[in-house]
Amino acid sequence: MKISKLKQTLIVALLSSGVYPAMAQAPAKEQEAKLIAVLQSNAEFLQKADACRELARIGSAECVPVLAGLLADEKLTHMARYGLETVPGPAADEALRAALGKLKGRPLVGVIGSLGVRHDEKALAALAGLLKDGDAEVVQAVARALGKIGSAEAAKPLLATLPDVPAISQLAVCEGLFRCAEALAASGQNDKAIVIYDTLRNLKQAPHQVLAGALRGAILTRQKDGLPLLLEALRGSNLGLMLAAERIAIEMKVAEVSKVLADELAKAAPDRQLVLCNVLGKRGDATALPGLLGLAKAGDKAARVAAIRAAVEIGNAAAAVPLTELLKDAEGEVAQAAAAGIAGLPGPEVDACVLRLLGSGDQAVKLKMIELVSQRRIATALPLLLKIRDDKDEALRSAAIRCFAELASETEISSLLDRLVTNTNAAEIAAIEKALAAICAASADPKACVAKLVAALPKAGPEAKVALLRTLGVAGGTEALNAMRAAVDDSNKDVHTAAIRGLCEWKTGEAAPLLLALAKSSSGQVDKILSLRGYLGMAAKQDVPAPQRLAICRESASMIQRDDEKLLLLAALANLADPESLNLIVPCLDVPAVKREAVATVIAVAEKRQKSQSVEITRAALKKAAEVVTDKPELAKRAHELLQQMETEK
Amino acid sequence: MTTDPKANSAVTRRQFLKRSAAASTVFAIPTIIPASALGKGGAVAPSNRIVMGGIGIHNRGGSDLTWMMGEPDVQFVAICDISKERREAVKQTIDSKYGTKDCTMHRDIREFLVERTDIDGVLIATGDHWHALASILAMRAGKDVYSEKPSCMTIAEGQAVADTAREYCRVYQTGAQRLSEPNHVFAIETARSGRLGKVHTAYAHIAPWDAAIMGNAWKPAQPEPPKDEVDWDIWLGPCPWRPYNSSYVQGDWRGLYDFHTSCIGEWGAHTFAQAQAGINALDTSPIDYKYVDNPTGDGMVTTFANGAKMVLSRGDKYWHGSCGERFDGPEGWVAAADGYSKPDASSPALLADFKKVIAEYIARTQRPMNHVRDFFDCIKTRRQTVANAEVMYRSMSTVHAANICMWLKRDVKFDPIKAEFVNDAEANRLRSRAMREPWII
Repeated sequence: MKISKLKQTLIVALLSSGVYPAMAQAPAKEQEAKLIAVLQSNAEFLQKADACRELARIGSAECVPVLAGLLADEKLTHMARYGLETVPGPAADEALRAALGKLKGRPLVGVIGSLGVRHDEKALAALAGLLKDGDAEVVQAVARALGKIGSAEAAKPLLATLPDVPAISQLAVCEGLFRCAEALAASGQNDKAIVIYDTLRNLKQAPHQVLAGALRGAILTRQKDGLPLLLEALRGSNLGLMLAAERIAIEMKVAEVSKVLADELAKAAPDRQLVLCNVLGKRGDATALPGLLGLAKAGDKAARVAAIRAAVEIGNAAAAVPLTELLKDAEGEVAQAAAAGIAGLPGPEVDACVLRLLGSGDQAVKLKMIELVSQRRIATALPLLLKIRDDKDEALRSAAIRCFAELASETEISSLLDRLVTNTNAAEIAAIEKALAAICAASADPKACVAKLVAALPKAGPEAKVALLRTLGVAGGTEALNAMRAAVDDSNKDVHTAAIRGLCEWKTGEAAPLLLALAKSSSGQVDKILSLRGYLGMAAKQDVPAPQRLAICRESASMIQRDDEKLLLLAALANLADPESLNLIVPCLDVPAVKREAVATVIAVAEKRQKSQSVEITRAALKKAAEVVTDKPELAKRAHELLQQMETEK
Repeated sequence: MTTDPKANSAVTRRQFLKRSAAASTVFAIPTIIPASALGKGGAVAPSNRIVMGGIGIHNRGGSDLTWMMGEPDVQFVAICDISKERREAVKQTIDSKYGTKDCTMHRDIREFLVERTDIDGVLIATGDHWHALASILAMRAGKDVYSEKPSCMTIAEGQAVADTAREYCRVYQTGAQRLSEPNHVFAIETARSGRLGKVHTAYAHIAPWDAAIMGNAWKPAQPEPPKDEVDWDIWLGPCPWRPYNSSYVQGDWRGLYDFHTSCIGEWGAHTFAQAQAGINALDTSPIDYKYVDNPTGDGMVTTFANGAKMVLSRGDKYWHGSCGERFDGPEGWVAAADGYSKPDASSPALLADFKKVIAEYIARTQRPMNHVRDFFDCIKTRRQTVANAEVMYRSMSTVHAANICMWLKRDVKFDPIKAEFVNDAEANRLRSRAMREPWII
C-alpha cells in the first residue's frame, strides 16, 4: 500500500513531535492504520523505527503481519520486535514463533528473546529444538527464554542438555534452570525445583556463582529440611559454599536456624565463629543471645568482638548488663566494642543500667557512663550529674557539667545559672552558655527565661556576665535589650564590649535608636565605629520598614568618615529599591576607594526602579556612574543599557 | 562465559580471608590467616584486598573511583570502556594511585568479564541505559556490583537485576549514597522509629532540571569512529539503533526516552529510596499515582498500600538543599537535604537526639556511614547492602510508574506484588522495552 507524500509528511511530523506527546494521540485504530502505512511505505529508517515505537504502545493484531514482515530485515528487526513484543494476544506469539524457522543469527536471537519475554509456552518445542544449534548466541538465548517460560516442561530440555552443553553456553543453561526452579517453587512445585537445584549444585566444573545459587535454592526450597545442608556447608571446607551458606542463613525464615547456629557457636573454630556471629546478628533472634554473650566473655579476640556486635545487632536490652561487665576488659577492642554496643542498644532498661554504673562505678567507668548518658540523652541522669559536678576530680566534674548542660531543660535554668555566675572555667562556662541559649531559643515562655537571666546578671562575674549577655541576645525581647544597653555602662571592658556587640547583632530593628545614640555619644573611637556599623546593619532587618531603613542610611551617611563604613552603606542601599537612595550613593562615585562599588550600587538600584518612580534622579546617577567607571567596561556597558531602556520608556 | 575451576577456587579462598578480616576490628587478623598473608607497614595484605574493575568510568564514575580507591583494602586492576580516551585516562588514574603499570584496558564488556576472572567486584558508571545490563552481565560472571543510579531503565530491567542478584547470591549496591549519610539516616530513622507518630506523608525531591515528558530526536549523524576509538554499537547496547554523534558519548542524552529516566528518575533514584526507607516501604512501591497537569510531575501524590503518601516535589518547599526528603507525622516533621550541616526538624527536641539515633542505627545494622564502605564490607560478609538490588528495584519501580503516569497523562494504579498496573493494558505495555539483539537478558 502506498501513501501520499502529504500524508507521509504529516505522519512523520506526528512521530517526530516527541515520544510522549504522541502518546496522547487519539483514536488508536486510526493511528495504528497510519503507522502501518508508514511501515509499508518507502519512508526513511527513522520514520519506520518511530512507527514501531508507537505500535509498541497502541498496536493490535492488525499491525502484527507488517511487523512480522520486518523481522528478517537486519536493520529493522529490532524495531519490529520492539513493536511486536508488547502487542497483546496470540497473533504476535504466532508471528514470532513462525519466524523461528526462518531466521538465523542475531535476528533469530532477538525473536527467541521476545518469545521468552512473552512467556510463550507454545514455543517450547521449537525452542528446545534450537538448544543444539551451532550458534552459541542462539543456544544461550533459548536457554534463557525457556527459563522465562519457567514451567516443568521448559526445564526438561534444559536438564537434558546440561551434561553436554558446551562450556561457553553452560552458564546460560544454568540460568534458564534457575528461572524454572524459582517459578516452580513459587507455584508450589517444590519437589521439581529441588531436583533442579540439586542437579546444579552437583554440577562438575560449575562457576562458583552457580554453585552458590544452587545451594541457596536447595536449602531455601527445602525450608526446615534444608538445615542439614546449611550446616554441612557452614562446617565444610569448600569456602565458596561456606560463604554462600552464610548469606542463606541470614535469609532463611525458618525459626530453628538461630538456635541451631547458636548451639554451633561453642563447637566452632574461631574463623567459623565469626561467620556464625555475623549470621546470628543479622537474624535478630534473641534466642541466640546467651550463646553470643558467652562467647563475648572469652576466647579469640576477633570472635569476641564479633559476638558483642552481633548481640547488639539483635537489639535486645538483655545484652546491656553482660556488656557492662566487659567495659574494663583487658582487650581494648573488646571494651571498646562493649561501650559502643551499650550506646546503641535501645530501651529504658539500658538507660537504667547506665545510671546504675554512673552512680556506682569508679572514675573511668563514670566518665564512660557520662559519655553514654550524653549520647543516649538520659534526662533522668540529671540529679546524679548534679552530684558529680562537684566531684573533686576535674575531668569528671567537667564532663558532668557539659553533660548536664546538654540535657538540661527549662526547669534546670536556675541550677545552670547558679553554676554559671561564679564560674571562671572557660569550658564550663561555654557548655552552660550553650545549654542556656538552646533552652531560651526553644522556650515557650522566653520572657520568663529572660527574667531569670537578667536577675542573675548582678551576681555574675565578668566571664559569666559576657556569657549571659550573649544568651540574652539569643532570647531577645525588650527586657533583654534594656539589660544589654545597661551593660554597655559596665565598668569591666569585656562586659562593655560584649554589650555593644550584643546590641549590634540584635535580631530586630528595636536596637537601632540605642545604637544611633551610642554612635553619636560614645567617647571611644572603637565604640563609635562598632555602634555605627551596628546601626547600619539595622537597615537590613526584615522587621524595619523600608522608609525607616532609608532614614537609617541617611542618618549614617552624615556620620560616616571611613571608606569601610561607606562600603557597608552602599551594601545597605543596594537592597533599597528607592531612587532617593541614589542621593546617598552619588557622592560615593567621587571617592576612589569605593567608586566601583558605588557604580554597581547605582546599577542595582536602577535595575529595581519601578516605572512609576522618577526618571531624572536615576538617569543622572547612571550617567555619572558610566563616566566614572573607567576600569570596568562591563559596568559602564550595563549603565548605558539601562539609560537606553529609560529612553524607550518615553 | 567460561568455567575456570582454578580461578573459582582462588576466588573463594581469597573471599574467605577478606570476609574474616572484615568481622574483626580494623583489620585485626583472625587465627586462620597465616602470618605470611600479612602486608607490611600497615598495608592490607594482597590476599585481603578486594579486587575491583571499572566499567564506563566518567564524570560521576570518576568521583566513585576516587572514593573507592581511598579504601585501604580495595585495589582497582582493570577498566572497561567503549572509549579509548577514557580507558587510557582511567588507567592512568589507577596506575598512578598504586604506582603500577598493570591496570588492563578492555573495550567489550563481554570479553572483559570472561578474561578477568580474578576480579571480585565492579564499579558500573556507564550511561544510565547500560546500568542494568552491565550489572546483570557482571553478576552472571560472579562479580559483585556497585552500580551508579538510576540503575534500570524499566520496571522489567529492575526486576531482572534483582532476580540475577538473588539467583547467583551476589552483593549489589545502587549508588543511592544518601542511605549511608548521617543526616538522611537521621531523618529516615526518626520517621521509622515513630518519633513523629505514624508518618502519614513523605516528600521526595525530583530534579529541578529536565522534564517528565521526554523526546526522541536524533542528533545529526557524524562519521562513526573506528571501534577501537569509540565502539558506538556497544555504547547503544540494548537501545534502538541511531546514527553516531559524539555528543551522546560525552553525556548529552538527558531528556531522551531511550537513555534517560526523566527529572523524576534523575533524583527519584535517590530520594524515593530515602522516602520509602522512612515509611518502611523499601520492599514495595506505591499502589496509586495521581497525575498532575504540569511538565515535571511536581506535586504528584502517590499512595502506598498502608495508606502512607509520598509526594514528588521539585522545589525547595520542604527542605533547603538538593536530593531532599521530608517526613510528616502527627507529632512533628523532619527533613534532610544535601548542603546543610544538620537536618531540619519541627522541634529542637527531635534534633537533640541526633547522636542517639545514629548510634542506635549503627548498633542495630552494623553499617558504616559510608556507602562504598558498606558495599565492601558486604562483599566480605556476604550480607545485603543498604541499597541492595531489591531496594533499587522497588524504588526505581516507583520512578517508572510515576513516569508512566505522567506520560499517559492520567492516574494509574500499580500492583507491586505482581509488578503490573491494575486493569491497565496501556500502562503495562510500558513496563519493558524490547532489547536490541544480542543484548537480550
